Amino acid sequence: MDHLVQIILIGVILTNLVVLGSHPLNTCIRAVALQGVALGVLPIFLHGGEWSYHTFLISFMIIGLKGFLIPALLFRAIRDAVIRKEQEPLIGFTASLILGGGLVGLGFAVSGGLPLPAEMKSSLLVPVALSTVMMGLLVIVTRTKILTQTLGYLMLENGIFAFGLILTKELPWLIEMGVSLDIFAGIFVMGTLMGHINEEFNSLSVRKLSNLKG
Amino acid sequence: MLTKLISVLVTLVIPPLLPGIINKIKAIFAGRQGPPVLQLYFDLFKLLKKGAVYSTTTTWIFRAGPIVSLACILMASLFVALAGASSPLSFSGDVVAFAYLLGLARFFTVLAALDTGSSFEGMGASREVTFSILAEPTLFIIFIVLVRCTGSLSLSAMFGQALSLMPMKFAASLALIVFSLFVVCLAENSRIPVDDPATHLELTMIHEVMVLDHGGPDLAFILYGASIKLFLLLALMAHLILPMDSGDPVREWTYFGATVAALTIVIGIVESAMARLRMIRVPRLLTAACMIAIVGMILSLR
Amino acid sequence: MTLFLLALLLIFSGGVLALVPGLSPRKESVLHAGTIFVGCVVALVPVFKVLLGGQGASLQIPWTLPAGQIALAIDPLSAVFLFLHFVVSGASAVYGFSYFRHEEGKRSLKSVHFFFSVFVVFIALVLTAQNGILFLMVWELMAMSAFFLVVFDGHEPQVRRAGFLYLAATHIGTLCLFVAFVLLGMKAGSFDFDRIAGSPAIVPAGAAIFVLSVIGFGGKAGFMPLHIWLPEAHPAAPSPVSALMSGVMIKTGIYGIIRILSFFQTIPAWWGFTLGAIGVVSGSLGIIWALAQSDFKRLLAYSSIENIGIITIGLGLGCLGLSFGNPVLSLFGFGGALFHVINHGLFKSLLFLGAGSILHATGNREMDRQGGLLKKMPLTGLSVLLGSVAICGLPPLNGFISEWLIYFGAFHLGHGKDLYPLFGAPVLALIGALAVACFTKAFGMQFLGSPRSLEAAGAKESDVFMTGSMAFLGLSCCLIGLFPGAVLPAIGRALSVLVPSNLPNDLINQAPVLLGINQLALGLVAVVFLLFLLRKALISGRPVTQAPTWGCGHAFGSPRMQYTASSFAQFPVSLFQKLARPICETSRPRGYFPEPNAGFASRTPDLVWDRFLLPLIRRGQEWFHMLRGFQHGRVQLYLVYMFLFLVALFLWKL
Repeated sequence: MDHLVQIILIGVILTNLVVLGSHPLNTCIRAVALQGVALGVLPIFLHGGEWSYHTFLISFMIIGLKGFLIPALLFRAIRDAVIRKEQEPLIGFTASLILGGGLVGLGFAVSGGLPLPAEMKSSLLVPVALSTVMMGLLVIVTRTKILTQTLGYLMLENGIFAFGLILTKELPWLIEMGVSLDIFAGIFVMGTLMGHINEEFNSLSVRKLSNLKG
Repeated sequence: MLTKLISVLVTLVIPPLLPGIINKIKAIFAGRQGPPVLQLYFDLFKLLKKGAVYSTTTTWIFRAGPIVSLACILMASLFVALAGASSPLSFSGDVVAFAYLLGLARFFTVLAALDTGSSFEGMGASREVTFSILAEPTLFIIFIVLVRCTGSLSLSAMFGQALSLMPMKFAASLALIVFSLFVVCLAENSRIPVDDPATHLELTMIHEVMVLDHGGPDLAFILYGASIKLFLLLALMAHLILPMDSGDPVREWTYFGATVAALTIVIGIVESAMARLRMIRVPRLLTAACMIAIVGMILSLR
Repeated sequence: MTLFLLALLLIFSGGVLALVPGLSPRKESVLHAGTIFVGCVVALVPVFKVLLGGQGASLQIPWTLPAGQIALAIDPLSAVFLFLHFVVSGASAVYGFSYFRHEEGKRSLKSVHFFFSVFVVFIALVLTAQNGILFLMVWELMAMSAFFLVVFDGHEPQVRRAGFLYLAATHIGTLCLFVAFVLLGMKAGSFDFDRIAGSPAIVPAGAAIFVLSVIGFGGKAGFMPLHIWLPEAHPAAPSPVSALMSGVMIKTGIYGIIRILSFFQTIPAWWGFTLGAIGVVSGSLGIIWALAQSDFKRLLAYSSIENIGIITIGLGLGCLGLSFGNPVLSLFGFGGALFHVINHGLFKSLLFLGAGSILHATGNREMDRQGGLLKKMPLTGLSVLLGSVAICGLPPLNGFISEWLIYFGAFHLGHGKDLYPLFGAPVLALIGALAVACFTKAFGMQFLGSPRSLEAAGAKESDVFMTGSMAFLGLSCCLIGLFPGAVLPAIGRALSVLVPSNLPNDLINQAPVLLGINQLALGLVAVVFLLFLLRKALISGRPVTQAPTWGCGHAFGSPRMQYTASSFAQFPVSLFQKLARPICETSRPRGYFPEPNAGFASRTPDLVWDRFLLPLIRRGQEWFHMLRGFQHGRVQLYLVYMFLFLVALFLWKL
């Protein structure tokens, strides 16, 4: 069980690096989808393999939402706006990769100093969660296309979700509903925004937004 | 003693088989017959029977380049233990000697290329040293992970017996560095997606273009040395994938041979399935391999 | 000790005699080079005695200055640095005899001769001074004599600017050292080194002393970001002087830091981390900027910064070893650093002398204009090749051994979260790969290929003094690389100054590399020889012809179609775009039959200077400009200033 969890978490880090370093947008969306599926599968294996129907249902919902529904929306957005590739980010792909590696190290260093419950000290969950949050923030800050910024936001949410997995053995329905609504609303807003920006400027680059300055 | 002798013989005889296997796999994917698997042996014999033509611009460095680089690769091969046997030469900390001997081979190959005074060779030399700037730190990070896993500092121990005694918690790091080592192997041996060994245009070559002006026995030495370098890196990877700890030499040699052959086939499949990356994208690939190795190192340091 | 002092006196007198008017220039040169050479050989005798395990000699004479005395001593640590110093000085003096010959008729070499001798003497005194006041005095004298040597070609504005920059940098450093030594002396109650060492009173001021020493000694050594004077001063000085400065003078900074470290019994971990961080930054940025240069001596200057970075990484690892109680780490870290001091001194001076030979033969330092020099200057080329292979740290030469020692120390870390020193190994690998790129460019573009300019085509081999001194240095690199076991015991003894005496210093004598390196070197030479014979046998009966290099069908290939040094370096440097962006000035050809005045020039600015210091200096100038308002020339207001000052004094005291 523990090995499987470790492998899944390492897979999460690798998908983060893929998003940081890839050129084609399809790869980025698929990576985030894979990340969502991995994190959805995690609650089943996490707390010693004890699962109830509740956990199973939650995982199913999360996999459906993060792994299929939201990526489908994003793919449709790409098709409507006819964009294929990511432009060079503000700091360059290679520098993003190096920074991403540094953030992984930072996540591990910081998590070493946090006061965690004993069973969590040796697990990879906290470092991976922290690194995912930071790398999501990196993507939001350094990318110019709003689609990739949305992906960064999704990575951020994934990280927070992973962090939440530590604390609760059971996921109360209310919290789950709240999280899902949060994500859904965010994507909805971003999707509408994307559509409007595309209509207005005929491009999805955030740089054009500064044309709105008076 | 006997095993060391067998190791040396295997290192001297087997390597030219590997490029033949790769070319055969590429031919199969392309629907062709392809050259026979022993083609490189025939090529080497043909080249050894020829005379030599030297450029008027060159000096003794051009004539020394192939000899020194082959000598360095041969000496580096003495440090690698094959199939769990012990290597002919070994001392604690010889990983550094291994890496720097390959560096010395690269130094003289680059100098021999610059000696011809041709712009092609200058181009290839510039690219070769650039990719080595990214590959060397990755290699050392891989060594650090193995030092942490095995607690030993000599190449034959790191990639040999001690690896099978490694605690399970390092398994994840090991998987990550196998991937990084594979990318470094592709970069060092100028395989797709870093370089295209099949063409001879200056747009697509790194290693091929550096040896453009060599011919005859010099070219034979260079091709032979390149195949030994490929064999050594694949041997290291084979040791990482399949630990050799059974103690039964016959079984270990078969495992070893099978793994190296499998890895060669994988390289052939990668070469057939992918195209060469644009030159300016290659640093990104190498940086990604370096970052993955760093993630593996961070995991192993906990 | 008397032998040592006699040797120094001999060298000094040689310099003074050079000032005597009426000597013919030829005799002056012979006298100067002869006294330095003989003096260095004589001085090496007591140094070798200490290196081989003898007792250090010492001398103490009180003088009339308060709180000071003339205390000199050769202890094992000084002996290592003195060995390097006298070998390099002797070789440079012999080289300089020949190098300055073409200037003999044109202008007076008196200043160079005097200051060169004086420089050698003062460096030796810095390395043996055992009293804080004496140390500061000879440190300042050494820096001043170096200044006068740097501005030998002072008729060129570039050289004057370099000299001024050097003067400013070294005095800022000396100021910090003043404060540091005063702190040491005050706390410990005496300025003598043997009283300061181990005294518990200096521990509270330890942080301040360490920081001041790093700035003061580090500025001399070339730590980033205090390195800006190095790439200007070393190319501006004449080549034998650059060799001495780069080979020995910057090592006195390292010597100073090691001395300061030896005064403290426990070393906090943050010192080791600071030194390690400085080393990593200096090493990597230094070699990246070296790769981007097109002037050979500037490239070598940046490469010196890189090697000082490697030495500092070793020092940092050693300090961390002392703090964490890891004997292998401390011994191999410090040992590797000390060994690299010797190695770098030898091969860097060799390379600078080679640069001087190239300048002598072709008249310029631009690597983009050379080419094909190996055929015209075979001996110089072979020596520079040995220097290049050694500086890249490739086996079987000496650079490999010292880098191996540092690697070995870095791999030997304990368990726990103090594992940051492990990052030293990949950084060293990165620096090594960049050094290979840099020196294949430097050697390959100048000595190989075809000549890219008329001057390069007309080069001739230098005379026996120049090639002989370079060959001697190259030979010493080979010997130390093949027999490091001869040098390691001396280094182990030098370490006894630094590490507590309960650690086995001879651990370094059993470094595993010693077993392997002989087999490796021998094996390499044997296999090369066998392959050479094999190839000779193979092509013996067959046709061996010569033909022009294949030019892809071009009918009229020209040497200008070759890759130049800048084009070779463009791809590697482009990996580090944020750090080293070349500024290109192009004037494109216009029209269908363009004039021959199109051109392309590129230079890489130093990031610390251009982005950080120059704006800071300009901002400071603006501020001070604002203060000019106070100086308006009206006497009444000046009287008001005096009154206000008196009022302030009263208020303060009451």
